[in-house]
Formats: sequence, structure tokens, C-alpha cells
Amino acid sequence: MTFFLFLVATLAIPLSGYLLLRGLFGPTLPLSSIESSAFSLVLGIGSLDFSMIALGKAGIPLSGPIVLIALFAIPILSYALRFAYERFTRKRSGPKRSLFPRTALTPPARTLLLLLVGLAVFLKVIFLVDAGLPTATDLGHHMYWSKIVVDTERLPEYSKREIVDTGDGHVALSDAESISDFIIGEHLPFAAISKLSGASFFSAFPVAFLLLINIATLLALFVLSVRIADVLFADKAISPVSVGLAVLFFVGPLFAFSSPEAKFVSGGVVGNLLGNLMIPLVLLSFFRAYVETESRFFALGILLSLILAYTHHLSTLVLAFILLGIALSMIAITFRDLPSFAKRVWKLFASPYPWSMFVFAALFFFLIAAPTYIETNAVSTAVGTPSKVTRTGLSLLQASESAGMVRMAIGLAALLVALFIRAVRRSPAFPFVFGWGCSLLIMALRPRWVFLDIPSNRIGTYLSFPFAILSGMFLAAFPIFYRDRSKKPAGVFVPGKLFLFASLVLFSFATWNGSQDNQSSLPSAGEAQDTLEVFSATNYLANHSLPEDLFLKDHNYLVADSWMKLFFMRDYAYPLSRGYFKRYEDEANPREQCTLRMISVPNLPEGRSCYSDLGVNLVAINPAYDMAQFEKSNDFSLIYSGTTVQIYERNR
Amino acid sequence: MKETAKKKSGVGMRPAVSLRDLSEEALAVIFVVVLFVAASGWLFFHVNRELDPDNGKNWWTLAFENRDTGSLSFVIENHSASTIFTFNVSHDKDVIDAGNLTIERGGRKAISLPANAAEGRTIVTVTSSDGSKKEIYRNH
Repeated sequence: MTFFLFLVATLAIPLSGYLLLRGLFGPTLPLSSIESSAFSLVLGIGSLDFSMIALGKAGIPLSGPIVLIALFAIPILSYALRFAYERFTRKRSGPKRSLFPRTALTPPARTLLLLLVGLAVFLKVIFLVDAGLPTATDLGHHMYWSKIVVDTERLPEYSKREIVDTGDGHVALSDAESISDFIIGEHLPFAAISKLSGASFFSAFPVAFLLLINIATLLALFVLSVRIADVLFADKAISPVSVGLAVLFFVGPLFAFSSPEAKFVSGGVVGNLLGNLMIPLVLLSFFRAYVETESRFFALGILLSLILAYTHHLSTLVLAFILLGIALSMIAITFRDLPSFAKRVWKLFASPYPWSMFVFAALFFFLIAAPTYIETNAVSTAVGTPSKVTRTGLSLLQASESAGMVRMAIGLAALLVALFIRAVRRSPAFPFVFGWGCSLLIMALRPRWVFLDIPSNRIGTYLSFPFAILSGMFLAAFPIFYRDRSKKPAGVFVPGKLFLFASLVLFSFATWNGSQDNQSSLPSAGEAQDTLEVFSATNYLANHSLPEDLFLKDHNYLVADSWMKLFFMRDYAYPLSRGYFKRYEDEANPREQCTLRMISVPNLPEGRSCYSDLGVNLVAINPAYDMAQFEKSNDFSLIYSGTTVQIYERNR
Repeated sequence: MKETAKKKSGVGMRPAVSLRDLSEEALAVIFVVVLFVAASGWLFFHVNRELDPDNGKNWWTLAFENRDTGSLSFVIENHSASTIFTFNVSHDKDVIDAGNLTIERGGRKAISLPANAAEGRTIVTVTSSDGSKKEIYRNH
């Protein structure tokens, strides 16, 4: 029953998004079914987020019925108003136009599309079967905030208590201080689904929802590449659908387990996954706005960008750089006819649609709520000269590992070849792939050039999609290099046998590299029993908790430890945590040492001092690694004993 | 002439398409939705099974029943194949209590013992019928 309710709640989101899409932009906005579905999912998420934020800020408890209203009220209203308007003005709907030219969508192409998507999902499910348990650290952190919304029916206040130096050789727990790492759009959809369906966070529902986002991303990349190819290869004998299928090959079955694919799904890298879906859709909207001079697509792109801004800060920053790269590329190719370019861009603004979005964005930002990272001034920490060695840029080899070697190799080749083909270079579609790929390359390889101060490996994960599109285009366009000598026009041609050999090598390399990545990423046997033991121990403590308790656990050797906080819901940083050992040695980012000492050296003076200052009286550890130092102490009683987890209580 | 120019620039709308094309795209979307339902259904089934403490698992835990520092009452939660547990309470190597109990898989049983706040370490040791042993203790 819970599963059924989860499905209803989850699929209600794109349904509400569809009503909003048609309500805002009318039935004449030419969209294919696949485009509509992808846009609807994101608009549904956005509509839910904005409504819940507004209601939460107004002090209205976010109960089940209110969440339902948040999900459907505005979309239904906008759809009803649009329906009435269309009827009243007796406007006729324009002919529906499809994504694909009639001749391109053949039954074999459709079958291949379904096979590729099916294979990709099959592979991802194989990965998630063992990796989809509620154990991932990031997912645990995110679900804590979502659970706060469900339990309190209020918007979360992103803050946590920290151990601070009091300046006299002692430490203390601070009051709750704001944190900027979390953005509300990452948590409200999960809270809404849980509230509507009753699904527990300790189930497959978070991972299942992220899988839906990942599947929608594949479709978004497919339609984006088909649209781009439709314009880029307008006068070439290359089917745009073939390009889309080739791209789907590179992002679907190949590298199915890598970041930002299934690994991000199981790891609960929520913001990144949502950003990976939204960025291609924003680019698709702006692309269609430009080539079709349709201001409604421009407005749609603005709205999607706004939704992204309230969902994931890093993806928003990446999108900003991508759009800058695209804009500069466009100016470069239209340099000889800038007035015409400017006129075309102006036409996009000469409509009430985009201005309505700007007004809505301004009103929401200033009157209701700004994204957390704006309020805490976190932007200044991401922009500037790289401050650590991990932020000074990746090497080309590291970038290839992030993007997938075959995608990087073929994608770079595609970029270089495209620069030498005049018809491609001058196409209005060219800046979109060129600008996207180059801006991300610069951000990943030379962040200093753009004053970016963010871990470079995080940027590297964004490389895979533009280079997958470039690779797909190259693969689909490859046959044009084969020319029968007896036919004209003459051009670059390759003898038949050599062409066949080259095609086989290319295909084999792609399949080998992508599959090898899959093979090396398969998780080992499940941690289910260890997870259950940790949950059982935490449940025991939660049921026997006293108000004065202060609990410390270990992150290095306890499975699913970040989920322990969901049993207490006292603070984001409760229980306190001994983090990864290397973090205590990071001289560039010095941190308190008490959480380390209290577990590693509880009997030495520095450990005892920490216990005395902070008042920690409960400690959870994995006995295989940390039992010895507690067992020999007379200051601790062992009150809970499992195979992979023990709880010690310090005598007062 | 106009059409050629339009075709060359690569800009412009493709002609309207037939119902057959539309339905193929819609079919693709429906297929993906069905695929998602099946995939998430399997995930739900699998995760529920994995999080079932008794299904294919073999573990048990031992804990004090409450937080009172003098209380020695303890509780065993059993999710293993063993059903017989032998307990032994000792203080400074003197056995002060012992006994056996039977707990079926999935069961939980508490043993009430007299409080003991004597100085030193009082240990409760439990051994299951498959030989695995756990202990808890209070230090005073």
C-alpha cells in the first residue's frame, strides 16, 4: 500500500507540472511528449517548492492537505484560467508539432530508444539493489531536513551547533549557527512525498525518487541533442534522432554506475542530480527560444533557472558560467552581423512572458524568501582565487576520468572537427554545444581563469553531459566521412574497408570504456545486517534518552551513521561525530580535535578534558576498531553490545 | 527560393506530423513510466526485505534494560538461528547470578535482576547456543 501511495504522490508531481506548463504557456507551445514530460517533472517540483515555501513563511502548518494544495492549487488555477481565456477569446490551438521530423522517427529508431533506456534502467537497478539501502552519508543528511518538515510541519532552519574553542584552552558547544550547504529545494519534494504517502525515510522511496530524476535526465539529454542536431545538421544527411540515440548510448548503458549517474542516486547527492536534470532543460528552453524566436521558451528557461536557484547552489553557478560561455560563443559567430543578432535577442524580450517571470522572481526573492546561500553570503566563498590544492583545477587525465575517457576523447575530437567545418561553425546551434563544453572545461581545468574557488572534482562531474552530446554527434555524423568515389559532391572520404574498421574501433572503444567503468563500480555485498544493528542501537538510545545526554558516534567505522540523527531529531550535528581522520590533519582548514580525542584517546588528559568541557556521556563505536581503549577504562560502562556496534556510557 | 534559404539556415519549424508520430513518442513516455514503476517496485521490495531484521539475518543484541546506574536488568533481542541463551552475572570474578532462557527468532526478552552498585565492575555475559558471546558491564 505504501508503495502504491508513493507512486501516486510521485507521479502527481509531473501531473501538476503539466497543468502548470499548459496553464502558463498555453496549448500552442510546440512540445513533443518527451519534452512535455521532462519539463512537467521540473515544473511540478518547482511549483511544489515555491508553494510550500510561501505557505511555510506565512506560518501555515505544512500538513498533508496543505501539501496537496501546494501541489495542485496554482497549476489547476493557471490551467483553468488559460482554458477560460482560450475559450473566451475563441483562439484556436495551432497544429501540434512534434520533436521529430516525420521521416526520422522510424519504428526501428523507436525500438532502439526503448532498448537503450530499458538497458540503462536495468543496469542502474542492478547497482541500486545493493547500494540503495538507507546508508549513504549525503542522503542521511538530506533526509534529516526533509524529516524535520514532515515532523514539525514547518520549513527547516538550516543551522547546527558546533564545538568551538572558548579561548582559554577549553571547548564548548555553540548555539545553533546558520549553514549554507543545504538549499530548501533539495528537501521539500521528499517531505511532500513522505507526507502524502506516509512512506518512511528508512525505505527505498528516497532512492526511487532520485532514480526517476536520473531517468528523466536521460530523456532530457536525448531531446536536447535531437533539437540541437536538427539545426546543426539541417542540410546534412544525418538524422537528428540518430544523434539522440547515439547520445543516449553514451549517457545510458555506458557509465551507468558512475557519478553523476547511479552513484549519485544511491549516494543521495540530491542537489547535483536535480541540477543535472534542470541544466539540460534550461539549455533546451533557451535554445528553442533563440532558434525559433519564441519568447515563451525564453520565459520557460527563466522559470526553470529560478527553480534551479532554489534547488542547488553549485549547479546554479555552473549554469551561469555555461550561459556566459554560450553567449560569448554566439557573439563570436555573429560578430559580422551583431545588429541582426541583437534584434533577434530583443524579440525574445519584447513579450509579456519573460517579464512576468522576472517580476515573479523578484517578488518571491525579496518578499518571500531568498535561497539560503544568498542569505548566508556563501557566494563569496565560491568565487575568488582557488584557496586549496583541490580547487586549482584537474589535469586532462583527471577530467577524462570524471567525464569518461571515451566521451572526453571523442567529444574533444568533435569540438576540434566542428571548428573546421564552416557550415557547422556558423550554425546557430553550434554555440550551445561549443560554449557548454568549453566553459566547463575551463572551470574544471583552469578555475583560476574564471575566479572559481570550488573543489575541482565537483566541477568535473558536470563534464560528462556536454561531452556525451558531442560524442553522440560525432558518432552519428561519422558516416558522412564515407563517400562513394563515383558520387558527387566530392569531399572528405574514406575507403569503405577503412571506414568500417574505424567505425568498429570507435564503437568497441566506447563500449569497452563505458562497461569497464560499470564493472569497477559495482558495489560489494550488502551491508544490511550491519545497518540494522546500527539502527537498533540508535533506537535503543533514542528510547532511553535523557535530556542531559550528549551522544558521540564514529563516522569512520559505523555503517549508516549519518542516519542516526533521524532517530533523535535534536540538531543536525546531534549526535556529535568523529569524522574522517584526514580532516583532522587538514592544515588549510583546521578543525576541533575533541571529537577525535574522545574516541581515539578517551583515557588521556586531552580526551578527558574534552569530555569534561562538553559533557558527552554516550559513545557509539565499532568494537572491531575502537573497543580496546574503552574496555580498559573504569570511567565507562558498556550498556549496549552488538556485533558491529557498542554503546558506552561515561560515569558522571 | 524562400524554402531553400530557410532550409540552408537550419532555422524554422518542421512541418506538422501525423498521429502516428505523436503516438510513438507518447508510447515511449508510457514505457518509461512503466519501467520506473517496475524498477521502483523492485527496489521497494528488495529494500524492505533487506531491512527485515529476521529475513536471512543472524544477529542478536544485549543491553541494559534501563539507564539506572545500579540496575543490572538486561534485555536480549534475538534475530539469529540460536534460540537458547545462557547468562552469567559476575562481580570481581565472583558469579552472583546465572541462568538460561529461550528466545525465538524475532523475539525479545528481559531479565530482571537485583540492583547492584558495588564498587568495581559488574559484568553480564550472555552466550548463545551457537557459541557467540556478548557482554555488558557497569563500572562503579
